[in-house]
Amino acid sequence: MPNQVPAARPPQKANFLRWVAKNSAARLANLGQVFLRFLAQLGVFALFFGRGIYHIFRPPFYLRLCLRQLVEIGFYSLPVVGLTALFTGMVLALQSYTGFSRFNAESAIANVVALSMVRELGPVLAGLMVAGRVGAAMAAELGTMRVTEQIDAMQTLSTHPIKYLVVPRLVAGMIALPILVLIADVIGIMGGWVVAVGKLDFNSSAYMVSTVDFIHSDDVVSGLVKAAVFGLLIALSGCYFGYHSKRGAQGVGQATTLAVVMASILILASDYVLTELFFARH
Amino acid sequence: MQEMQESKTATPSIQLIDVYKSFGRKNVLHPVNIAIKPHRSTVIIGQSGTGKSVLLKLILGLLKPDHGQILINGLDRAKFAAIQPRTSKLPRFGMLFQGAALFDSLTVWENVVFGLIEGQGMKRADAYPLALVALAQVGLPAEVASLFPSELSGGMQKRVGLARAIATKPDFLFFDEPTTGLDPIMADVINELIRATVSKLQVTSLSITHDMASVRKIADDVAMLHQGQIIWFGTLAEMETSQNPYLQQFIHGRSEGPIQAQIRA
Repeated sequence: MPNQVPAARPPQKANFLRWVAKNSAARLANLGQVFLRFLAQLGVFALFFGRGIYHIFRPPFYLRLCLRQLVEIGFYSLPVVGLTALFTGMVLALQSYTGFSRFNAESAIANVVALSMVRELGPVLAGLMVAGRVGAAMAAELGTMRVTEQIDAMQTLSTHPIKYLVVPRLVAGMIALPILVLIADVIGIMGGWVVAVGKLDFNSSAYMVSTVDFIHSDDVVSGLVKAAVFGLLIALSGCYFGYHSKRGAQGVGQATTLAVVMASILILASDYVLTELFFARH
Repeated sequence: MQEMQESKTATPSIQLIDVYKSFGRKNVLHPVNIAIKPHRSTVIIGQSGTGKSVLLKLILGLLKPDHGQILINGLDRAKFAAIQPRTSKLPRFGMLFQGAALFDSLTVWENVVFGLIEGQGMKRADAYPLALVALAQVGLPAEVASLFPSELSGGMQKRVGLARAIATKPDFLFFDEPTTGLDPIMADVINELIRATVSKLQVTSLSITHDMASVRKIADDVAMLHQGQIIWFGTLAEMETSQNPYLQQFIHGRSEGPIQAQIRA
């Protein structure tokens, strides 16, 4: 007869309670550690932000680098932001038509497209596209500089890396995004117009007049302010994760991913806060 | 001989007193005590992961010690920021990094005079001739000036790194693994260049390496770092005749002896 494995005895009640208490304490401790690490990271992020803002106003100023970053962030993002805005405007017109025709409100399409683009979709979509393109590039560039000791080398050459690497990106981000969003707004509205006039047989001049009459300066300004904040957050996120990148290719890759994820989350969260600030009382 | 006697009695250029440094639970330096003599080339040897690079970064101010004091020409390093303005009392440092650490978005000449243009506010037009002079000092022709670092070989990059380190006319030169990744001939060229530069500029130099050919070429004094402590210090001649078993194992590259191969960094 083969040896039979004795069946495990169920733990006695006192042992079981001790086991539960021990495991719960360990899990709670782990959770606490994760939370403390998160708070520490948040603190470092806030300090980095503070240092960046402080050095914007302290000489020396690297205007040449700001201009270079402005071209990098603004000019080279134009195709991707433009295409995004164009198709978003077109889809918005088409979707609005299919929805609004159910209760004979097709005439509001021009207003919906314009308001959505200017207030919300222009800044948010441009922000997300730039976060993917520029935020990742910033994190990868600074991360590579960190792991190849270029940032250390800069310090030995009496050059402040925050001033030289971070400040020009923050400034360029804050300036480039509003310009990009303004262009995206126009392209998006034009996308809606193309669909409305070309496919849905709207009157061209009536569509344009309706658009221009409906948009107030507040709508445009709120979108541009959002864009400036998003630009700052994208640059901040890219620089922070790149600057604190860990060693090796994996560290740089991780920094790039985190930069894009963090920038996207910050854009969406701050969008809500700014919308609340601008429009909640209306 | 007289020069050696003088340097033995002179005030140390760099002095580390009871310096501790740890990262999390890992104690890297615990403690380090060393005195680097002026106008001499000191080389710190030791296994990978013993804290040699950390030691250099502490002196440069890129890291802060957990405890202890670092004196540079008698001045407390802790009282000065890592990035020093032109007017600082602290002596100037030049550093050749392990991978040269050249800025890949800048041309060779912009790299060489980066410290002069960005750190000291010199005009680009004024800095360009100085870049050519520094390049000539490390044996590089003017044609190299307009190239980007990615267009150069590893040895050439090290030379440019050296030119960048000396362009700001430093009082101290630091070399972090100067021959790592180079073929033996190029390694010898770099060693010769380091020796010649240190002698010509009359600077105090501190190098870290585990390349014994490099040690024998560039060192006046040698220190051995093992498990976060300086366990031996002496002249190059004394190193060869020392009976210290750790030193003997290391300089002859033996697998058997008191030093065990490290698995973790």
